[in-house]
Amino acid sequence: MEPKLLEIYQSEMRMRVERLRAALARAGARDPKSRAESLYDAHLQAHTIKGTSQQLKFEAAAELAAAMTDSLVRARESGELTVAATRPIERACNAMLAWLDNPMGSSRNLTIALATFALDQPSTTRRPLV
Amino acid sequence: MTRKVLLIEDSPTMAFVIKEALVASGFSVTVADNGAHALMTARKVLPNVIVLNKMLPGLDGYEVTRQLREDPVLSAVRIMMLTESGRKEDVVRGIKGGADDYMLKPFEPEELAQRVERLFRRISTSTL
Repeated sequence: MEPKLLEIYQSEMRMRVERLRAALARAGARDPKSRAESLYDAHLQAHTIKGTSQQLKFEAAAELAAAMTDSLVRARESGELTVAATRPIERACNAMLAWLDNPMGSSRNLTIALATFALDQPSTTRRPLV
Repeated sequence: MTRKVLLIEDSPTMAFVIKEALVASGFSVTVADNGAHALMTARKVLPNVIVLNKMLPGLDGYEVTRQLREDPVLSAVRIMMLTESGRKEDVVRGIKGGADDYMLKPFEPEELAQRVERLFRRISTSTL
C-alpha cells in the first residue's frame, strides 16, 4: 500500500474513533434530541470506519467496526444506548486505536476484540460469530 | 475538452483512493467533503459528472441529489452514488431520487473510473 494512503487512513481512523468515543460520552444525555444526534454521529463514525477499512482490505478492522455499527443501529432503533452496550464499544475503540499504530502488523488483537465484543452483547441480541 | 468530475466524499481516505483512480483515467477532479459545500462547489465548477457518497454529514447523498435535480443549471449533471449497503431499497431510492448509476463499496477503483467513463459517453450520446 502506498505510504501516503496508509498515513491518511491512520489519521482519519484515529480521528473517527475519537469522535465515536466523544459521541458515546454524549449519548446518555437526558434530552432525546441530543441523544439521537449523538447516536447518529456515533453510527456515522462506525459506519465509515467499516466502509473505509473494507475498501483498504483491513478485514479485521472492518468486522469490528461492523459489530459496533450493528450495536449502534440497535441503539438508534430503541432510542438509547445502555451501559451494557456502551462498554464493549469503548473496549473495541481502545483495541482499534492500539492497532492503528501499526495497521500493517498483526490484527490478532482486533480478532480477540471482536470475539469479546460478541460475548459482551446482551443475550437477546447476541449473534453467532461467522 | 476538460472532463470535470466533482467528488463528494467526507472520508479523506476514500477521497484519495477515488481521486487517484479518476485522475489516472484523465478526469479533472474537484473534491467536496460535505453536502452543503458540494452544492456551492458544483455551481462554481459546473462538473459533467458527480460521484457522491450516500452517507454524508449534514445533507445526505439523497438530499444533495434532490437539490441538484432542482437546480436549473445543474439538473442535467450525471450522478453516481456510492453506498456501502447492498439493500435493494437504498439503490431504488437513489435511482428514483435522480442518480444515474450507483456503486457498492468496497469497489475496484479502476471499475469506478470505467463507470464514470460510461457516464461521460452517455453525455456525448445525448448531446448528439
